[in-house]
Amino acid sequence: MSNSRFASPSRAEWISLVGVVSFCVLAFGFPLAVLFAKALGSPLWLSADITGVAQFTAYQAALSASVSGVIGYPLGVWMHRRPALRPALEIPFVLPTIVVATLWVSTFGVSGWLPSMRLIYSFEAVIAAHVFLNAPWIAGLVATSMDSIPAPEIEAARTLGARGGRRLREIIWPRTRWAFASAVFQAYSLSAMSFVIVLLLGGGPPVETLQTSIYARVRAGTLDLDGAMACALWLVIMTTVPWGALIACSPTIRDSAVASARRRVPNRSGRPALLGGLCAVALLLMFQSRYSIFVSIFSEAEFWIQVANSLGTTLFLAVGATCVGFAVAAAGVVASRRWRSVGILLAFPSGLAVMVLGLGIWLAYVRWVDPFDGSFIALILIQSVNLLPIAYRKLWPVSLSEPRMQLEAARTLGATPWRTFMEVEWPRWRRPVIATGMLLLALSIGEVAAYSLFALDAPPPLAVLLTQWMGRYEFEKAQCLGLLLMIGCASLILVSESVDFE
Amino acid sequence: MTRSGGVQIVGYSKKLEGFRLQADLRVESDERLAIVGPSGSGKTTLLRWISGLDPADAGALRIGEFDVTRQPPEMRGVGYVFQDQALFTMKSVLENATFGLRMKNTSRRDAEKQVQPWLERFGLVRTLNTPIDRLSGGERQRLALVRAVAWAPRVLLLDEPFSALDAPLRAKLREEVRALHDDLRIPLILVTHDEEDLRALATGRAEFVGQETRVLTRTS
Repeated sequence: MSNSRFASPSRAEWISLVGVVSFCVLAFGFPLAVLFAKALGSPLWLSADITGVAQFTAYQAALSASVSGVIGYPLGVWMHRRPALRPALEIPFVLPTIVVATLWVSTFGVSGWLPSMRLIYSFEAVIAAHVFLNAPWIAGLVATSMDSIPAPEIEAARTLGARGGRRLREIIWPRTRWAFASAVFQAYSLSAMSFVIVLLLGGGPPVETLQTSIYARVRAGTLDLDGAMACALWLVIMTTVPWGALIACSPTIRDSAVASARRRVPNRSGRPALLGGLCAVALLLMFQSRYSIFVSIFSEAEFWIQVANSLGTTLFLAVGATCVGFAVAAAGVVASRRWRSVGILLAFPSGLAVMVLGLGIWLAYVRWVDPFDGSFIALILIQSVNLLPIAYRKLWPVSLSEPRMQLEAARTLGATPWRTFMEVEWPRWRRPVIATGMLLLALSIGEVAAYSLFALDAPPPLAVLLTQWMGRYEFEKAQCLGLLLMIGCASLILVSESVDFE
Repeated sequence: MTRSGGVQIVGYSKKLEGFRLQADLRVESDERLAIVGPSGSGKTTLLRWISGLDPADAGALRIGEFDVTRQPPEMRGVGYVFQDQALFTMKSVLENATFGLRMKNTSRRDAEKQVQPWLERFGLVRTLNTPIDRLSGGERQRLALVRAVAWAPRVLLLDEPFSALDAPLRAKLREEVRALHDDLRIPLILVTHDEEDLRALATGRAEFVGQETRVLTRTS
């Protein structure tokens, strides 16, 4: 039987390769090269001002990741034996980050439920919010990696006298340590790249990370492009070097890491009932004691007009980014069946912060793209690059189970390549494609950082409108919009999970 | 030398899909009892209960002088050779062999000393640092045996231990198990559906008799 791995690349594979490489070069390769060249050309990146922010960012990210790991590992081990509760770990994935921030303010703010805890506008608030988002992520990965431990090994250990703690040390830990390390590094990167949480919950300059510093130097006050580039350089180093080191020294995650995205992706089929119940709890939290205010805001025409205006921009950007991201990822899947390194290329944007990418695009294409004029193309480009690793990760496993014999059988029965694809391939691709599309759409809708850099004259997207209302202390309106965003994103993700191939 | 006073099963009862298992049985320390029967007849279920891995609806289990019915698997002192060996694939041969001893808080060095004779006896000395997935079928089976006996269990349970091996290797291992039992003199319960295992290894035979209620009955 022929093996396509040893046959010459097909025309479709060549076209896919050229398309993917061209996109990657144009969308982040060239912009990063320009950014690096300019940043390294100035000694500013070694100045005390910039290194101080870098150190603080690293400290904040390391602390967030460590606390998340300390909580996430035992939580994952505990959750592994409780399948009915495991979907609860997905709650942070269902909520857009901006909604989490809104929820946080409505709970711990001055007029919130628990103002006495003082978990707002401070370093502690940022750490706590990062832990809320990342600990379940780590727990989920640990619980999933525990699924791969053969039950007989655990049973054998028990019959040989291993009690709970010893089983954990001898059997479970060796099987889960690399997944755990990988998850902690991902949490570290996510915390270092965190934007909305730091911006809204940090409370201003004392809690300034590289991401918010780039934003401040470009969009707020006097333009300091050199400072922004220096910050971007540090952020790239901070998010990519540890990850590369982990891949290099870990034998078990090297292969899987290529396909792993560093964004929050639900990785199990959801259990809508429980997830729905948990979402209801979150909704309740937002509604508590403010029901009448919510009702009055929801009955205001002004509120709905603003939402409707922003919805157009939101959908335009989300659909555009989803289409571009999906198309490139699909081409990547075709190309990576022949050239595995394409997978690494598509996983690379996981370590790129939105601000870094945006700054790179600005510098590289300054003739056509100016943040002060705004740019739909730049926004779609940035968002699609961010979605690439997730889209690739969702689609790549499907390509591994190619039904070669059925394809050959269809061809021998007179089917054209197109009919062969539609009759044999498409039925197994349909669900993953729909699921991936919905997931990307949900993630795009919650995006804030890209727009913060390339603001448009048009009405802002919903997530940005929410931040604006938060900034103007219009908390109730922000909470109402947060509620709508949450319902929208959660619905998309739940539908995505229910049709998912996993 | 006898290290165990035998195994006694009293009033074991477990409802499975379509039938009920019952057993009252005693296996002496110098005995090698084979439980025979077709697939799905409940042989492994009983073995898993004896090891403490699965519960029963009713029944008591004594190993030697002790009632171990309510004890967890790790407290029972059972040497269990699983059908698919259940070796710890993330550990080396030596770490697998010493596992039980280390669970008794024996130091690593002492545990390695104690398993050395077993490893020599079963021809595993040359494979000490070999990854488990590179062992041959026979080596894997021997290692599973060494792991089960090295920590001085009070009863040895073998669940179709030779099913994945070819005929010459099976014959050799039967001899090794027989010699091993002669030295250990602890109750040995063997689950099998291979007549050759019975002839070469078992000193007694029991099987589940009946349809809706299957009662473990000695047949020889």
